[in-house]
Amino acid sequence: MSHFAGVDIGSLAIKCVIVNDAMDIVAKAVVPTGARVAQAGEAALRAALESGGVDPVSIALTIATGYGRKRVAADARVTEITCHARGAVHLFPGTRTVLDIGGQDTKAIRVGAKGEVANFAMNDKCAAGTGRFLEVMARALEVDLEDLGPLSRESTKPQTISSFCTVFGESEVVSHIADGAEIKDIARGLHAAIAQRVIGLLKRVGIEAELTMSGGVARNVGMRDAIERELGLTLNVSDESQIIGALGAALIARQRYLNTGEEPR
Amino acid sequence: MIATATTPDARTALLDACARALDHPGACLREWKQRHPAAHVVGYFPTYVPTELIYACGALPTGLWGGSIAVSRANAYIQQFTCSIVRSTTEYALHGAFDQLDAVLFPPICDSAKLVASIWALNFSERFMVDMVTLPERLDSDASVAYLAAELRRVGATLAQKLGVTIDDGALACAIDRCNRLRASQQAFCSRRATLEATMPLAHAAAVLKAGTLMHADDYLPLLDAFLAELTSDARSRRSKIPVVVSGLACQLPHPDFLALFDEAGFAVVGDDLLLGMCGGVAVATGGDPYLALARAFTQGPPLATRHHDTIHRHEFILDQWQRGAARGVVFLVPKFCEPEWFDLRYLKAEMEKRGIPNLVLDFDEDPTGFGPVLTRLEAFAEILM
Repeated sequence: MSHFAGVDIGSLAIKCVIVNDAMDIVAKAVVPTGARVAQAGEAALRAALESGGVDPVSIALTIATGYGRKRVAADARVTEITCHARGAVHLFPGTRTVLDIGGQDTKAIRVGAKGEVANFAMNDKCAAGTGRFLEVMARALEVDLEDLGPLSRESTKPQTISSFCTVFGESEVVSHIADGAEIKDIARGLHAAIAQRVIGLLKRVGIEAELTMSGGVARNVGMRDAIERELGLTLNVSDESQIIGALGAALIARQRYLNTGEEPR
Repeated sequence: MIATATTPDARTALLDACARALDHPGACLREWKQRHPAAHVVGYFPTYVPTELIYACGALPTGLWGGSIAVSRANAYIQQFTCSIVRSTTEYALHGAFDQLDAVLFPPICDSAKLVASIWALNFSERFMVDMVTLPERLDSDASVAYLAAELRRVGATLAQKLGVTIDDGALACAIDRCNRLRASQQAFCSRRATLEATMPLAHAAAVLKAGTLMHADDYLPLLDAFLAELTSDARSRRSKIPVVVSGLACQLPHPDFLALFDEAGFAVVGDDLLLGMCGGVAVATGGDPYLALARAFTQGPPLATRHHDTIHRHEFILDQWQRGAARGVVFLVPKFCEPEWFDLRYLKAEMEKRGIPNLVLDFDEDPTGFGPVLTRLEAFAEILM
């Protein structure tokens, strides 16, 4: 049996997914990116092969995606825009909009009726509205990043964070702390600030249900709550949200290898 | 530095000369002044200044383009939410980079250009003369032509007085002829974009046009004309590429490394309106009142974000390029904080979308770093068009 690998080189984590001929996920791995991207990419593939007991020789095609896609060995490279759309449509076939909030960038993707990318928008160079923003704020609040979302759900008096900028936002957080605001209320305000930012991005491509959220930040319940509150709709969120880009890359690898032409790109 | 491949000598000669003009503008000016010790140099800010008046004074017109300088001192004069060309040219001026100039002319193309002209007049007038060519807003009336002719006469007289020369009709006629030939050659270069693309990437083509605003026409034109004479139709390299049209403001270009991303992403740029304001004007009529002819030519020039016509529309030019080049999409290059271009963009996108033409907007400044996200955008657009 042939297998197909997708390696998504993100700024904070490298995700690897291996699928089989039937498009089932047979192995996956997530490793920190670190400073040596090429080695980390190989480590992610190795970890995925080991976790699924997959013979490396059975990998028929590997596609790299993500910001570091050109820095790792692969048979082909596809942008994370196309891969996230492909992965999201595979998991949620009714997907028409994808929101990917990653470690250092955010993407809004409109998907056409056949699951193809119709339009997209990305955030600018700055970290506003990305996972990095939450990371910096979690540090300022002295809480673990993973706890930020659940903590925000306990908020009874949400604080307002008016700045999207990571630097100014951190100053506002410090001011709220100095004023005696509770951490859970500041956390809720932070998620609301990012939600407003990413909704602006989504509106640039047009928001159409179903909206699927991908990327590491999709695991943050506080973030999901804030976006759903702002938009008034329920997001598709998978347990595999962090690996959707890698999954899309693996599926595209399979499609190219088999040249079936049956699935959306 | 522009890299050259094994190609005809004319191409190499043209690219080398243009690269030198762009990479070492100060040294090129000094060399030119050594060769022409009695002549003057007049800087001009994009997009439109009548270079014919500068040539008629026996001077070298040279475009002020800014560049990738770290802006520090200019922050004391200009707010940070202003386009990068305004800020970087001012930074260069504060560092004395334009002290070789005898005069600088500004067109009032936007609020930022007007602002910077005033700041320069206040701060640098001891180093060089600063004047504004006040252009008419309406382009479809005889009054506009008459007004602009009078304004050009005033600008010419003021400039000539400053440089200690006189502009006679013969000198102006020669200058008009020289600029007409320059425009014609540059337009021939642009109109053969689809053919040109096979031998010259966008970054190099943009450099050739930009260098035409820095070099003296008598030095530049023979090189360009020799290249055009050797340019043959060769569409081989286009077959595996995706044809697109690139549209952007005429007064500012992204860094060459930014433009090179089009090739890396697999695009063939088969049409563009970059630098249209600098080289895309209509030929100036000869034989009558030269000032009236210059004014009339300006009012008949192509529509730009900074020059709107009631009857000629900017999107029609883009559509024409799109059709001629059999392009699959359009990429808009928009300078950050450029109000005229962002104002036009909404309408231009609507015109493209009305016709189902895929399009991508890329904003830019003169920062030479951080092109990774730009390449991702371009490659994702290519994947959509495949």
